[in-house]
Amino acid sequence: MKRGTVILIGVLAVIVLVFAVFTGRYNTMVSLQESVDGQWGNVENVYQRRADLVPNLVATVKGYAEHERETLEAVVKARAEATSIQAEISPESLADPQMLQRFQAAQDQLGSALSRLMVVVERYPDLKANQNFLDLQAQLEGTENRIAVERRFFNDAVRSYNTVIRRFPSNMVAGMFGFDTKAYFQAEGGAEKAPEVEF
Amino acid sequence: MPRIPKALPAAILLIVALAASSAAFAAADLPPAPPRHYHDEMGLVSSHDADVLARALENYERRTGIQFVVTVLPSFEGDVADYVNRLFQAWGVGDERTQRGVMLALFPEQGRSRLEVSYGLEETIPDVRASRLLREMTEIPRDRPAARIASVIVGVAKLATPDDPLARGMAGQSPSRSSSSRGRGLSIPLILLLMFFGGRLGRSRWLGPLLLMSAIGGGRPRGGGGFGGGGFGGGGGFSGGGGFSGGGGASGGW
Repeated sequence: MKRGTVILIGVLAVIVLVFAVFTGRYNTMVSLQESVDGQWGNVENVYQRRADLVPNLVATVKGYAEHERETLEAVVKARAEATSIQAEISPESLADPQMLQRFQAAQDQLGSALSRLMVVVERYPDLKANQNFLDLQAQLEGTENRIAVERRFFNDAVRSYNTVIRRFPSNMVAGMFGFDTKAYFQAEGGAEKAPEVEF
Repeated sequence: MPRIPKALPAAILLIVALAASSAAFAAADLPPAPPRHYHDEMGLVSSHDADVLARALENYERRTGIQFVVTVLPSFEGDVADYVNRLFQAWGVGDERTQRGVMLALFPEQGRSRLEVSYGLEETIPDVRASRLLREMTEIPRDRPAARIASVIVGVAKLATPDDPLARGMAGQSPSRSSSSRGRGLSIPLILLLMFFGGRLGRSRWLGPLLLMSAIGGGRPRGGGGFGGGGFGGGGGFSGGGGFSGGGGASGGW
């Protein structure tokens, strides 16, 4: 009888301990996931910010550089594509690396179209002297910076989340409650680098 | 029973070790946080001017809660915006909660500059304004580095805190500083003024920097250590508040 009680208490203690560990793990994962989702929101915001700059930029450049229709059209088209993918994607779809890849590809497309435009405008001294254009250029530069920064923060958040859900014993909790690893932004390839100037 | 409690501290240790090592790795190529708000590795301005600028910024932080750091560094690696952003985060400029931090980083040898603005001030100092401040800075002759720096400081103060003395080019005092320490050595500003600005007093955009330099310069003996009569127990000096930046601000030349 007495021995039975000891065993019972022992078993109960183990259960309580396991439960406590699992609860702690679960809560950690939830908050890490929250921070990934929150950071995704920041990423979307800065990309949206860039998309919002495009119409104004295109209108300003058009007034000075009528001949660059092709470059301008490429920007407008890339913007439309990037915005339509942005509408599709949600924090839940971030587990799918392909979704993120598509999103990144579309945004990088817009990035490179814009940097091509910024190279082309070098040929128009009048435009380069226009205060409105200089301001837009500063805003665009600032937005590209913010994109780089928020992407880095996003990758950091995903890294800490992935690290936790892959580690023992968290991986058991993660498996039980369906926490999946999330995808990273890939380091930019040649796409976002400014193209070479052609004369 | 013994297995799980043993695994837990081990796992925590691992995570902590990993976090620490990755943090150390990330910070490896960045200079350590500076001792004061104005930090000059290149000797761009005289030690006296450096002290004047540091004190102005220290007092500004006490009055307004805005942490404004100016640093002059020999070089950066990669992209200036990315480098300064990581530096900003590593030093933790600005309070983590309010995110009111600003950093002016100068790289005279590479001819670059960057004004980095934290989240909390992005609205008050938009990129466009930051970019203009840097352009105006480079309009001041290169051989007046203190005036160049002061022009950005005053420009930021004008945008962020129009009512603060610094926005009018006055260094002002820290709120806890007694008024008795004011008004010492009134003759010095004139000397400084001539030192800095030679015969170029007529130009209005110099007025702010000019006043800043003369106002704080007053009565400070060269090489005097610590805060003369300030009365803060070990006060002053830079200590980051854990702030970071989302990439706001602008890059410019030098």
